[in-house]
Order: sequence, then structure tokens, then C-alpha cells
Amino acid sequence: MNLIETLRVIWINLMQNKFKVMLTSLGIIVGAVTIVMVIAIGKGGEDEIAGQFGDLSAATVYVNPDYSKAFLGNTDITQFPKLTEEIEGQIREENPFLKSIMRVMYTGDEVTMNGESNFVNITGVFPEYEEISNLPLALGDNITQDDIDNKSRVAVIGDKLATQYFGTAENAIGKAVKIRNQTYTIVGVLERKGDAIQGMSADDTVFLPYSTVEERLMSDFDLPQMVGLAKDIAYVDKAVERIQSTLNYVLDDGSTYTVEDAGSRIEAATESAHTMNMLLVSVAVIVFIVGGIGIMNVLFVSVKERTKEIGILKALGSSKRDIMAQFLLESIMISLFGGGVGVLLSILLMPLMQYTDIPVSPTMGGKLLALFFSVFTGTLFGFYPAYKASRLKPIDALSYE
Amino acid sequence: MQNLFTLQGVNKSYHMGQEQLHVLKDVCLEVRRGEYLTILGPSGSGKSTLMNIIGCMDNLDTGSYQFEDIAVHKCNDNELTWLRNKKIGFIFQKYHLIPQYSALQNVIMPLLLRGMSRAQATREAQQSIDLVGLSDRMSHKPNELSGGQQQRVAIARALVTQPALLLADEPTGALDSATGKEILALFRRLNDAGNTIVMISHDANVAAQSHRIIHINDGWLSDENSDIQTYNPRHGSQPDTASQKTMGIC
Ligand SMILES: Nc1ncnc2c1ncn2[C@@H]1O[C@H](COP(=O)(O)OP(=O)(O)OP(=O)(O)O)[C@@H](O)[C@H]1O
Ligand SMILES: [Mg+2]
Repeated sequence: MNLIETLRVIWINLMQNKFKVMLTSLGIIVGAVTIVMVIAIGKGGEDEIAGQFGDLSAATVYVNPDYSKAFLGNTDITQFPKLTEEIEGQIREENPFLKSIMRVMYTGDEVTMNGESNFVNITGVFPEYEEISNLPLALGDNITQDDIDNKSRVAVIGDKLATQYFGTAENAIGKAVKIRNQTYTIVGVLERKGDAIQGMSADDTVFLPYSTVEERLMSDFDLPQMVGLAKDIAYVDKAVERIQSTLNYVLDDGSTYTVEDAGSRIEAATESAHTMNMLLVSVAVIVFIVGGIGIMNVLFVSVKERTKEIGILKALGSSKRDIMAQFLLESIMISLFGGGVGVLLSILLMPLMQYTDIPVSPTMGGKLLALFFSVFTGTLFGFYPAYKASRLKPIDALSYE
Repeated sequence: MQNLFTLQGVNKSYHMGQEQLHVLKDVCLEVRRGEYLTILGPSGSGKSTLMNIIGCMDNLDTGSYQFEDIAVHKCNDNELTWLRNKKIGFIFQKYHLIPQYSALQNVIMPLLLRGMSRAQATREAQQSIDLVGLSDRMSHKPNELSGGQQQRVAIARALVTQPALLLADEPTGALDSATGKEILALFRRLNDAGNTIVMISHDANVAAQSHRIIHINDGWLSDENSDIQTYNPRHGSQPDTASQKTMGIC
């Protein structure tokens, strides 16, 4: 029998038993929803990681105080060794693997813009930050070496702050920012990034010249950090090693600072996301197996119920192949239906995920995979009942009551 | 005239645990093209067993079965499937229509199984349904038809492939006598039109419609028209060999 006629016959059979088809495909529906959700959650996690690191180059290196050392024990935080201009110079001088490196000061304060006051992130930077942190300007001017030298009271602000306080980036240029009763002039607005770097987003940060921050805002409790860029990805490990060795001799205890590169941070985070994904996917696979066994049971019952029909078909000249094709395709159709309903259901359910804390990124791949798994399950678990049906002896099948 | 099929020395036993039930005993039968033959015998005499062998639904234990130029007893599963589809039209006592299909879908199934296109199969099925007088019931499902109508659909399904042999196992067994007569009249017409028919029955009146009657009794075949031999158990079930030879079944 040709495929179209086989499908037509299956269609007649399925339409005759809509309720049974619904029940049979329930396991597959649940499996398909699970797999779409699981992949969306996995992708959501990965996207979040990607967001956290932005389009930071994997060649970025960080020098951060080891806060566990700084806050544990009886160490006085004000006694903690600070990264000075001298140390920065020393590192730069001794490190042929670095393209650039600079100190950076992450802090925050009450900031008044356009008459409105809020606590806002403030970052003290050098002109190189644009390149190192990949933060291009949208409008206006960057912080210059002159600003550093003169400790100028200029500010570059993130896109979100500009639109929040001034409506547009254009409006923000030339306006005043008030921090601790001192007025800074906005000279530039950054491009919108939409993602977070080291936990805070550049979009809602005020950038000031490092020297200005050092003089006016830094307290003894603030610890400068460093961020740099290796000349090439291949030199990252060497750059990190060399920075550490410089720190080891310029500081009494070099281990008070940790040197890390973005690549291995991204890797570690991605790896934990992968582990999570694998876990979720195995849950989905188990759901599919359970669904598949459900299909198999119903098909066995269905083969039993339709033994006489199989006998009739054999008497009329149905080959083993015809019978096999009919029952296997029927199983595949049921599971394809289940998969389709599951995917539709997952599209409807996806928006509800925003009421949870779990980040989701629905993907086409997830939906296709769910359909594929559905068909695969239908084929796998439909095979044995179909095989059994095709093997029935015509006379035994026909005289079955 | 050339034989359509020939059975020679056919034996068939059923095994049930230790016991062996010898159902067909040394059966010989020749059927010519265009014949209308009834195999008549009491319940349990082996009629259906014989018919299943003739219909290529079951295999024989020993003996030979020649259908046209095909040695059926040597055929494999695929060849038997081919024979059932191309050469034989089955008509069963209980109609055996597929309940979820319409009358038309039931009738075109054997043609679709051959790989024929639906358009052509439908055309041929309509002719066949016309022939049994059910053109106005084509889209009805079996449960929307009377017993006689269902049997007509089953006959149309058997006819549609223009088989070399129409094989009917008690086709009137489930019908009242009036409807049974109509069906038998239909068989006569089909035979007049050239179809070879082998019918099975336990009813002498039904058998009387046909050209030739073969008796089966406890697995033995004979063409002797003897009520005593066929139906009196005290007479013993085994006819003497001399009389069987004179019967000339083979
Ligand atoms: N599958 C089977 N397994 C075991 N014994 C069987 C089987 N089929 C038939 N028999 C036995 O073989 C014998 C002949 O059965 P068969 O069905 O051929 O009789 P029949 O002449 O068609 O009877 P009826 O007129 O009642 O249909 C019976 O004794 C029956 O019990
Ligand atoms: Mg019988």
C-alpha cells in the first residue's frame, strides 16, 4: 500500500478514537513541554552568564582584593595593602604580555541629577577603560588624560541613567551631576549595553576620572582594583602569572590580591550552567521514557483489540510490511501530535515563567528537539507492538475473539 | 478443461499440548475454472480448516496444493500474501468488514493493498458495489447496514479484485432465510458470469444451489451423496477405500 493511503487509513483510525489518542499522547505532551522548558531554562542560564560578562574579551585580566583575607580574622581593612600608581607602573613595566592595565575604583554614592537624588554606582577610571571594558561612547567625549592629570570634575554616564534623568542622551550632555555637594559636568554618554559587567551594569553607572574619585570620594575602606587586557588570548596565562609574581614582591603578602582572567571565569560559569543543563535534560528524557512506555502499553492493547482487523487485512493481502508500517506510523502520528500539542502548550506557558526568578530564553532548537524526541519515542516504543502485529498468523488473527 | 486448483493427499493436524487432532485426512480435490462447488458437512468436520488451506491462510502438514501453476505448499509468506491478494476473494460467515471504514473504503482496501491509485480503485469498487446493488450505501459504516447488506459489501470486496476463486465460508450462516436466498441468487449470477466459486455449508438446501457437492465428514472427503454416511455417527467415520476410489474426487 502506498504511503498516502496508509496515512489516510491511519487518519480514519485515529479520528475514530480521538479520546484514546489524547490519552495516549498525554505522556508525550508532558515530555515535549518539559524539554522545551528545560532547554529554555538552560539557554536562559547561559544567556545570563553571557550577559554578565558582556562582550568582554576573554583576554581581560582582573586584579581583585581577596576579600576573604580582607574581612576575615583581625586584619584591619584600612591596613590592607592598596594598589597604587607605583604598583600599576611596576606591573606594566615588567609585563610584556599586557596590552594595557589600569586601576579602577568601584564605589557608589548619593547622586543628584536633574533635581532627583538616588544612590548610584560610581566607577573611577582611566581613559583606557573604553577599550579594556569595551564600552564605546554613544555621544560626547570620553575621559581624557588631561582630566586625570587635572582631576577634572567631568562625568561620563551610562545610557540608562541618561534616559532616566534627562529623557535622551542628547539632553544629558553638558548637564550637571551633583555628588557630595560638588558639581560634575556630563561630557559623554555610553552606548547602551544591556548587560552587567562584574555584577553591575555600565548602563546605570557614573564614570569619573580615577584621580578625581581618589581625591574626593575614596575612603580608607575603599580598595582599588585593576583591570587589563592581554596582548593576545594566547598570552593570558603568562600575563596573569607575571602580574602575580610582581605583586608577590611589591606587596608584603602577594596573596592578598587574586589575579584572574575573564576567559576562565566565563568557562567556570558556563561549565556550571552546562551541568545544570545536563541535569534538566535527563529529567526530560525520563519524562519521555515514561511517556513512551505509556504509548507502548496503549499500542499493545490496540493491537490486541484490533487483532481481528489485522486478520482481515491479512486475508485481503496485507503484507507484513503493510501491517508494520500502519501500526508504526500510527504510533509516530500519535507522538507527533503529542509533540505538536506539547510545543504549542510550551509557547503558551513560557510567558508565565516571568513570574518566577528563573531566566528563560525560548529557542527554535528546543522546539525542534522536542518534536524530534516525540517522533523518536513514538518510533522506538511503537516498534515492538507493530512488529508483534505484523507477525500474527493470518488465521489466528482472524479467528481471534 | 484446465483445473483451477488441485489438492492431493492433504493432511492437517492441530496440536494441543500432548494431544494431536487429525482434522483433514488425505484430502484430494480438483476444482475446474467456472465451477460452483459446495463442500457440505456437519459442524466440526473440518470445513473451515480446509477452506483456510485453500485460501492460503493456513499451511498444510503433508500433501500438495497446486493453484494454477503455483505450488502453494512450497510458497513462503510473501508469496502467500500475493496469492491472497491477487487470486482469492474471501467471503466470511461473519462478514469481517473493518468497522471504522465506510463500505467503499472496505471494498477498495484489497486494491489499495496492491498499490493501485485511489481514483482507479474507487472506480472499480463502484462497479463492484453496483453489482451487489448497494450503490446508495457506499458511505455507510458496517454498523449502519443490515446483515444482508454487510454481506453484500463483503461480496463486493471479494469481487473487486476479479479473483480467480471466490471462497465463501457459510456466507448465509448469519442471515435469515429470505436474505440468504437473495445472497445465493447473487452467487448464481456471479457464477453465470464466469466466476469460480467454492462455498462451504452445513445446509443441504444451500448446497443444492451449486453444480457440484462434495461431502466432508470427520476430515474425509467424498462426493457420495449419502445422508447416512455423512450424518450417522454409528456408521463409522471412515469410508472404505474402495468406495472412495469410485467416487473419483481425485
Ligand atoms: N486452531 C485450532 N486449534 C485446535 N483445534 C482446532 C482449531 N481449529 C479447528 N480445530 C478443530 O478442528 C476441527 C474442525 O474444525 P473446523 O473449524 O474446520 O470445523 P467446521 O467444519 O468448519 O465446523 P463449523 O461448521 O462449526 O464451522 C474441530 O474439531 C475443531 O475443534
Ligand atoms: Mg467453520
